[in-house]
Amino acid sequence: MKIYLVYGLVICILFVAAGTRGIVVSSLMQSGRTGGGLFGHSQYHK
Amino acid sequence: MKANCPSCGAEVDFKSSISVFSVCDHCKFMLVRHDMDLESLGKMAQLPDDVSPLKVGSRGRYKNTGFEVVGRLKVAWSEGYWNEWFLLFDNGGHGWLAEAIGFFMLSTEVTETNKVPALSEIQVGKGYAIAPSRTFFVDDIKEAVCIGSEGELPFKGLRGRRTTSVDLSNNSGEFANIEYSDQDGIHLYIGRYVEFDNLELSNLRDLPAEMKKIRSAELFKCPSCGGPFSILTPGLTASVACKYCGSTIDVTNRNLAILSQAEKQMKIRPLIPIGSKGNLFGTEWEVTGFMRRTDKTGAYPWDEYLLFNPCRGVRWLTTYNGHWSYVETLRIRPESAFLDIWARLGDKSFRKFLVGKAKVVYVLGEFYWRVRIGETVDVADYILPPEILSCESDKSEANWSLGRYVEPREIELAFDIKGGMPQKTGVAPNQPSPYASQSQKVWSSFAALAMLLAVAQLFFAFTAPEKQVYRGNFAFNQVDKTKSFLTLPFDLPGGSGNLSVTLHSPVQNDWVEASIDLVDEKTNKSIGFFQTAEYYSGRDGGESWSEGSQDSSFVLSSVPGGRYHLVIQPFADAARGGEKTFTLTLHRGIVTWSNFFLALFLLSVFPLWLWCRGRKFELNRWSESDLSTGSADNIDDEGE
Repeated sequence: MKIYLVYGLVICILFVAAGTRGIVVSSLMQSGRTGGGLFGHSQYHK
Repeated sequence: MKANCPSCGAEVDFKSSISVFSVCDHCKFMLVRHDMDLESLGKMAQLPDDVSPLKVGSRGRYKNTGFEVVGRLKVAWSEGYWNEWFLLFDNGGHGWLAEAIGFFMLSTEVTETNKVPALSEIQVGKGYAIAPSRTFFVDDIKEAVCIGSEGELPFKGLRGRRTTSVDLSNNSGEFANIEYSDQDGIHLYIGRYVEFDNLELSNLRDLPAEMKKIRSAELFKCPSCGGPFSILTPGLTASVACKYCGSTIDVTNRNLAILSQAEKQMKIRPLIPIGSKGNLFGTEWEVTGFMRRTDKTGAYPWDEYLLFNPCRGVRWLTTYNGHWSYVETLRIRPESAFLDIWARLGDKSFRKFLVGKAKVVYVLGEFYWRVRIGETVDVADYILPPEILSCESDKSEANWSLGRYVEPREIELAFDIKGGMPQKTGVAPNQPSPYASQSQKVWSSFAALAMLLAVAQLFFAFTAPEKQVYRGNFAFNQVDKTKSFLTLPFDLPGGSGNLSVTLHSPVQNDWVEASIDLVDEKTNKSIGFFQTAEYYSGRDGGESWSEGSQDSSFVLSSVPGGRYHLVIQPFADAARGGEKTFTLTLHRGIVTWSNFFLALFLLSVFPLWLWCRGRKFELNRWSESDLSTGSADNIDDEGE
């Protein structure tokens, strides 16, 4: 229970830290030269 | 009134004005009072000893009034014995303290008996309004016979006095007794069940010291095998199981009739031996009986240990698949609710779990009723973990009991069991879910943390410095493959922040893609990414369809503030040819929700895991129920 509370508070702190620094985690997950291509034409044309 | 015994001359003191009968302390002659004279009715036979903590002369207190025990009537019925202690209150009032298998009922006589039905009308289980605005339900009807008396009584307590005793109760904890007698007519007593400790009793028997003497007083011989046995709880025990041959013997009279004989091949050694003593829940209990019972198929056997304490009466320890319950017979009749699916006891509702039969297959030790091998009763169990409410009934009576789940370790420590306890298997009907209480706390914490997140997210949403920092229109032809664009410089304000890039192109069944580099003019470092707008639509089978979008957006994370320009390399379908256009828009400091939902997801992982485990635990519990349909509706994972 205590571990969960600590874990939850860490999540909240990281959330606030990311928010203040403009970090968007979902964007970080898309690595390198990428974008919102629906059918992956970028790969085909390179 | 004081007078002299006509038999021995000793002084006989009638403490109560209504007492008409007394047994001389010295010569044990029965005396009847006629004004100032005493008539002798002959000698009272030796009163059989028992394990009651009370004696004539004990004092106590009830409803702030002191009382003294001035007499006793010992009564026998077909299944055992009970004591009726005659009380004289300090205010001159009278009462009766009935004592049976450790239960105490204090009642006073009600003179108004015109609402009492005739004995022929009385039925077990039926309710009767025998007192103003109160209905009592008949628990049992017993043919009682006096087997002795001592002290003084308000009637002739002669040995052999026969009455029909009807016990009644209601769900308010009230108790009533109607006594039908050929000689004395109808007597009605109404009172309450009382706790031994609440009576503030004093001048009690020194039972620990007397117990050894009581027990060694008489040795019996098994009528089946001749094996010797003594009785651990004389006056309470109605039947004894011979430890040599397993026969159950009726000890309510000196005939010692064999009630039943055990299967010869069956020999069970109880985990807690008969005679073991252990301190459980603050009371020292002695194991006086052991019983194995099964369901009607014989596939699910369970064991029951009878515990005895002179002041607390009897309790049961039941065990099945390594799970244990501590069971107490109820004095309050639970109410049935909603098609008998629920049973209500006080403010608690118990859900029906099992309906079946319980058959005695093996007994050891002694019991307060005449137990027989093969004795079968109907059983209904209702659960509210960690408690279980059980009703055992046959044609003549219904007995309710309340059990509480006990960890095997507690039993092991209490009775100093060597060699370890049997492993727990499966989930017991009343086993408390280890996840239920934890789950409640974790979900509460989750709610608090989610609220914290929501507040922070709303703060970010309302204070986000969203601003358009660049917008440019571009046109190109795919034929010119080397065509690229270099934009004018623009500023990204503030420190580190996000940057939203949106590409819009009016494509129709076509696509446009751009390889974009965001170049920091100061450091010449660049961030590269692709953006694609593609949109397709048409009609198929009379229905229009579309997919894709003319807009494409992407959020760059944590872009430092500074002066930037873009290098854009566009692409299009070379086969289509023609000029393509697109617009690129950049916004700084936009509101994003993905972090919030990600954090919420991370917070919910543990509570959801816990919920799934709890659900599985409850499914395992209810898989043992013959009332389970396997649906989630049957699952009460909170247990309360």
